Amino acid sequence: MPRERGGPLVKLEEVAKVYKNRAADTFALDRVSLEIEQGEFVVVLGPSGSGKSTLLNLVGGIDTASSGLITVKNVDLNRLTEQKLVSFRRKYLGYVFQYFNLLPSLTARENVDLVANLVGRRKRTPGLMKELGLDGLEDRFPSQLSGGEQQRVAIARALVKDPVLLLCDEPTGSLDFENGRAVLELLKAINSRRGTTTVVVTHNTVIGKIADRVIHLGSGKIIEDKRIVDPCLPRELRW
Amino acid sequence: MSPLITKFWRDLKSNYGQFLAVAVVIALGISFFIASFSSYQSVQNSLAQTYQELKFPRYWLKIAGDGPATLPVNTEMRQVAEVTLEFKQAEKTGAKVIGIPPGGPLYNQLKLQTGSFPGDGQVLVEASFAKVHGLKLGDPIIIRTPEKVYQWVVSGTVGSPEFIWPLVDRFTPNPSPRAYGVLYVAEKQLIRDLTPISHEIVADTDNLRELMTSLQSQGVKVTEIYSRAQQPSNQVLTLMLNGYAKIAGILPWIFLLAAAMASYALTYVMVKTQKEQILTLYYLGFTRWQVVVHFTSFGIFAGLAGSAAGSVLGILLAQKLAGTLAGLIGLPFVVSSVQSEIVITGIILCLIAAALGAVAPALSPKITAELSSSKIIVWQRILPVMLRQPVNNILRDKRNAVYRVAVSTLGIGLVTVGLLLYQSVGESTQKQNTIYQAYDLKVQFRTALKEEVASDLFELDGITDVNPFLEAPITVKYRNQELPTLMVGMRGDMLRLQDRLGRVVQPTGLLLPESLRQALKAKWIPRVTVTTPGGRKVELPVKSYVQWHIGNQVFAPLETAQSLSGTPGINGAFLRVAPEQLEQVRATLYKYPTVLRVDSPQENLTDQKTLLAFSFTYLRILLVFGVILAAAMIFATARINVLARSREFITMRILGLGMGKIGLSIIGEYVLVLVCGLAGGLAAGTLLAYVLLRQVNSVMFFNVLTVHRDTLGLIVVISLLIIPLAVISALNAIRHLNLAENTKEQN
Repeated sequence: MPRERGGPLVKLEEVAKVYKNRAADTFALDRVSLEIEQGEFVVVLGPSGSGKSTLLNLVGGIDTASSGLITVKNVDLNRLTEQKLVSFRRKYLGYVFQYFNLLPSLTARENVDLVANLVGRRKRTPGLMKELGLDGLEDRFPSQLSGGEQQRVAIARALVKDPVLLLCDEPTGSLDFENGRAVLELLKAINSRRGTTTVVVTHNTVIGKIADRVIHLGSGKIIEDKRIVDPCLPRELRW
Repeated sequence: MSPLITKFWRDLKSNYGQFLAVAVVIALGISFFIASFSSYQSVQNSLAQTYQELKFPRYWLKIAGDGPATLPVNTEMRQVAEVTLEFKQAEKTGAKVIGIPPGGPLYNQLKLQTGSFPGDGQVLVEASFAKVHGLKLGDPIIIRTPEKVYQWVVSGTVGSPEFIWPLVDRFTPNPSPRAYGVLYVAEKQLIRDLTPISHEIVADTDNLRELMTSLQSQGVKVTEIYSRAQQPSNQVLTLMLNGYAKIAGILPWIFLLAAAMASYALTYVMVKTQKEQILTLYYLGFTRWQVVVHFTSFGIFAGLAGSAAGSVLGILLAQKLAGTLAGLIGLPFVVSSVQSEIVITGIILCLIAAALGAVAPALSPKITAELSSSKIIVWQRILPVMLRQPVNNILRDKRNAVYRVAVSTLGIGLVTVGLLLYQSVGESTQKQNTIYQAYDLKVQFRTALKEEVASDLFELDGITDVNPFLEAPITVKYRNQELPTLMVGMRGDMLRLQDRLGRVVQPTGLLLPESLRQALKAKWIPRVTVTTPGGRKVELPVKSYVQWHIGNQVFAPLETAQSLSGTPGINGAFLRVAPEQLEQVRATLYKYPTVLRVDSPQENLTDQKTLLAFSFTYLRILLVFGVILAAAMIFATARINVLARSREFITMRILGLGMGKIGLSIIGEYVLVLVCGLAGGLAAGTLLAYVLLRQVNSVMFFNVLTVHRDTLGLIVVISLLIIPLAVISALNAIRHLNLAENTKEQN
């Protein structure tokens, strides 16, 4: 069942992340404020060092902000204890990484089961893998899969818990054009079918064309925040 | 099965070489722990059982004249005679003959080892004496008293709780079976044939005062009393076992430390090589606790595998060692059971060590941090290019570098401790018998004789020099510390005593052995109070301290001993003898009824080495374990290090670097690590050997740490030999890396 749109799922108010050095303080994020609605497909664009990954880590509760307020699902992440943060991440957030980050000593199915076990949804694994076109690949190890297949396993691993927010860090960065586009089609389909709020961080500006909304970051600040009225379909993309 | 558990088993399988190496280190640690503690406990139990079974009494009383008309309860009187023995036509020694009452002795019972109890004209021979002289059933023995000569036949050999460590007296722990023996004959025969006879009372009572009152009321004059703690054999055995307990109590902890370090290294590298996976686990919602448990499990599993194998090895070794050590001491009863509590304690401690070693890196707050980049530091620029790469490789991961140096230090330290202890104990014994005791024979008379006897001895064919001496029992007191010992009053230069700097010191004043100084708990003793058995008390200035490794005699001019004891004569002499006439002189001396025994330092050295085999055996095992452990740890570290840098090595191989070039690049690293380890290991090992020797040293056995350049050279050579092992191990691990799979994995 697709989730209903409406109301901010993610809210950042004056969020800053500072790395202190002997020479000078470095602002990875500089007083950033934004809201992401439920069901939105957001692409965050920016060159290396613009603060994209920092933003993703802060929203994902992996890192803590130096100042400012971050709420996800109306929960103030800064106020959560480490334990509650883990529990929150486990329950609501899904991650997809540039390098897939599959555990090399586990098969495709076991990688998905790793998370399914955590949330008590092991029965969902076979259906989900079939849905993502991983039929017949369940017992292969990551080293026996292509990059595209590995990323699909990683997406299955993220989806098995049915997250409210899917955070994707350069999900096509390690893939060729065909596989990259296939992954984007999958993410877009999940977003429209399930209504899973999706944030994709990338430096590839072309990907911004399929988003509901594109946020440009530069030197830790939002340079542009633009809603796309008529986004492209992934199959229409070229890069 | 949970995927995380599946991951655990697969990681274990793919890194089995590293796990195996760590498990071997842990196995060695626990086996040495069990073997050490258990064998000590077994030897202690064997001694206790021997004393219990053979009714070892609490007191020995020498009495003048006849014994009491009525013996107090829990006592037994026995007759003793001092004789000269002659057997196998040429060999002659002094001996003590003890009477066996009808029905056997009540206390100090005899454990028959061969043959049977003696009938008329037969003797039982104490086992160590029989062994040294090769005496067998039916062998004739000629017994000489000052008045008569008998020929009796050996009826058997026995062990006695009094003579487990056979000693002449309680002041000299020199083992005596070559020059002095103990025989047993039927009491009736002893009273009938041997004169003079002295009487002794042995008592198994707590109440010495009551016993003394009872004897005094019957007019019995007691000339000497000693307790179980002062009994010569028991005293020496207790000192030896205490020393063993201290070594056996300290060294196993070092082996456990090695186990913890191995476990640490394994987990550290697992954490380091899987840091992206750890980050992923956190992202996926795993708690820190789950991640810590997962990675600690690697160390714990290695600990479990090592403990299982090590326990079996330890139990087998403990049983073998206990039997060997008890046999070397000559205990008639051997209890070589392995105490389950020691095994369980060992396993628990080993698992704790493995878990503690593993949990530290698993808890590391920097698990997601990148390695520090390999920046070239200014001072590195001055290094030759060949050295710059290994130095940079070591410095880029400081924690790993510290660990590798620590492993080398520990391994080399263990080898150093083993070698130095072995060498020091051996050399102390050697020095005493070949350097300090610069005589060929020592003749001991039954009673004090006139000093002119020395001139008579000089007249004997083959004797080239004579130094007369008088040995007198005394008690030395300094402040609150008091110790019974023997004063050797002497004249001449046949005792080449040395001070701690190795300078020869002549006995022109009172010379205290270092062992006695330590037992009196003082760094500097200007004067001591000397008390004679007759109650005479004199204050004497101390001239110097001397090295004396076995025993604790004090040395003084002959006149001092004579005036103190009130004995004008001498009771023995050191002799210098023409080498080819040694046996002839010994035989001649035994012809004199006044001669009690004739000792040779060379024979003493042999006997001492035989009896010190107890300590040497343990030290040999320590040395072997130390070398194996050092090799296993360095082997494990080498493999683990390859695991940590597998991507780097794969890249080198893909770029076309041959195994030879890769080998050369890591040899530099190992040499640098080893040089650091050598410095630390030699220093730490020497310090530990010094501390252990101080712990083991006692008033009877005093070993001095001896460090020779040759020994240090040997350690360097052993260490250098380990480098090829480490390099071969590393290259083997690199050769087996799967280039295709490893390049594809992103983790």
